[in-house]
Amino acid sequence: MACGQLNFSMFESLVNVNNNPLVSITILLKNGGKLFRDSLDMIFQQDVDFPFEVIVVDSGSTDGSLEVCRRYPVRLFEIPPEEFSFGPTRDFAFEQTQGKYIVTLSQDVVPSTKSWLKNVVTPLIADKADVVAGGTVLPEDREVFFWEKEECFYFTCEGRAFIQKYGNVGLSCTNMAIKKSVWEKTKFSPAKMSEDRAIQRKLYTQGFRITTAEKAEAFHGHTYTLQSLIKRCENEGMGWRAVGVKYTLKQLFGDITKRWMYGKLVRGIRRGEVRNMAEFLFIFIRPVFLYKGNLLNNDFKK
Amino acid sequence: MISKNNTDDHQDLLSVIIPTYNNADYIGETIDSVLAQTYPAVEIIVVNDGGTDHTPEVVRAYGDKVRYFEKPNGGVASARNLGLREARGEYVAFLDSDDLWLPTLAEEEIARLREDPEVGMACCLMENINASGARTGMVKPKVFPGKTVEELIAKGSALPSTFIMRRELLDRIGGFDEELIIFEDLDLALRIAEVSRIVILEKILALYRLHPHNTTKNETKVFRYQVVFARKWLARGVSPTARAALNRRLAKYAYWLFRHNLKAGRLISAGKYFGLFCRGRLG
Repeated sequence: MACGQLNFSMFESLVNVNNNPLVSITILLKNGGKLFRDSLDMIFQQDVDFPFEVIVVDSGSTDGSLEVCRRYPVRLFEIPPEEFSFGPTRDFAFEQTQGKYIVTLSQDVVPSTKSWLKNVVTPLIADKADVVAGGTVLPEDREVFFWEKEECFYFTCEGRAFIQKYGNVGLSCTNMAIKKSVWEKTKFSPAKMSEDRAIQRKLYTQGFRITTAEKAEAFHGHTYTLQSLIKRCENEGMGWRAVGVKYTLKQLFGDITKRWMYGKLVRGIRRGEVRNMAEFLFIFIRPVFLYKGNLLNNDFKK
Repeated sequence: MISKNNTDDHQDLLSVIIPTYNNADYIGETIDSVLAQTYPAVEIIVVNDGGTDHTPEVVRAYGDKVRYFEKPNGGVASARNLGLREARGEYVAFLDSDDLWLPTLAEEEIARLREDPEVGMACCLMENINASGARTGMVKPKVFPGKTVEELIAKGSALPSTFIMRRELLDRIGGFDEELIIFEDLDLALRIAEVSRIVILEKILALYRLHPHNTTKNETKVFRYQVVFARKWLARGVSPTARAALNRRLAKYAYWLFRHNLKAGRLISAGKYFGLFCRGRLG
């Protein structure tokens, strides 16, 4: 506690910490590890001329992330792990915000520059948009899943029609900004997952303006094991069903037989860039488990 | 938020009772937070429970806006009861002198009480603030209040600074139990839950200040009053589930004290609490 307070006063000069922020940054947390720490670090180095606050909603971290939080002037809300699901928990986080504009960032996403925050909310402040998608870029300082590096992680066709239909932007809660007044009209609930897709559909059908921000990128990249890849793909499949998108057997065969993917795989193996089974079997795993999740799963896997 | 039938009606008075003991640094902000309420009809009663700091000067600076009383030190329950005897409102709230209300607390809670005559008390969630007043979040299950006797016993905590109650209900059940130095708030909430309904507004409308001068409670004292509290409620004849929950709480606390004493090398006390833990129940 004493340590936390010491650091707190240290930050008060850097960041305008008060109870009347213009912007609220929200992060959902569970065992965020080093990347979460880097992320908070970068957030509190942002170069802005408006006050902002950071709201973290934790659902049972055990890896020391809570201690990391307490070193920064964040508002930390701890909820029971069994209460967590993406839509309602994100709404809970948004309910706590005091700012006029809300930014969401994933716990493993690190802003790439000190002007990220300013750039992602500028279109909102200037009233040029109601929702802003900040981009993501691959980090260079750490290992990233082969297929993300090749920009082929989303080679399957399940979401294309949806994105085209609802505004031609892939809105994602990993890095996005929205007006609080707009969120109040749409909310994320009841979507248990893929809450970004759910809100995108509502935003588009209610006529809100969605845009992409320039120079508001954040570093985002994954590494997968076989198990975590399967889980991820099943969850995505389930999420698509939740917003009414069906991934058919025909699409599955279409995706598995994309020849250029195999070309990339062969090249990757030759160069020694394909290093594990998850990367090697990816072309099968993603479509098959998307299909499975889309067809069968009723609850997302944690 | 206020329902439209209030517009022609007069607003019922809300008495906010603020017991205080050597808290001059923060009580001003607490009073300001009540004066800033959107609910228009509010009287503020400050009861100084034998404090020795400059609280009187701070409070008297508010002039007619605050009614100020002093009494010899006798615990927070007796200070609140004195305030209750002086209160003129239809509704009564007890606010601790370092906690703050957000501007719409009274308006939103009283709206709920007006909506349903069977509801005797409304309460809400609180967020922590630090010594400099910055909001720092909260732990949801810990601060989440209960609605029924069972829930209140199981959760074992109440947030008195967020309670707004009907005056006639308090007169019926007779204010705070002055025998209880600790758990008096939980005891009151339980007695209210016995005879009427409690509603919880699931949002943050009040702030709880964590600061170095917070009344730090001596653990053995907490345990002693835990026992007094549990005996009282076991004697009142609660339901079997509530009885089990009470015993479980005591056992848990006894175990915690056993370990606490063991670590501190106080073996005799440790043995005593271990014995209590093994018995596991009072009755």
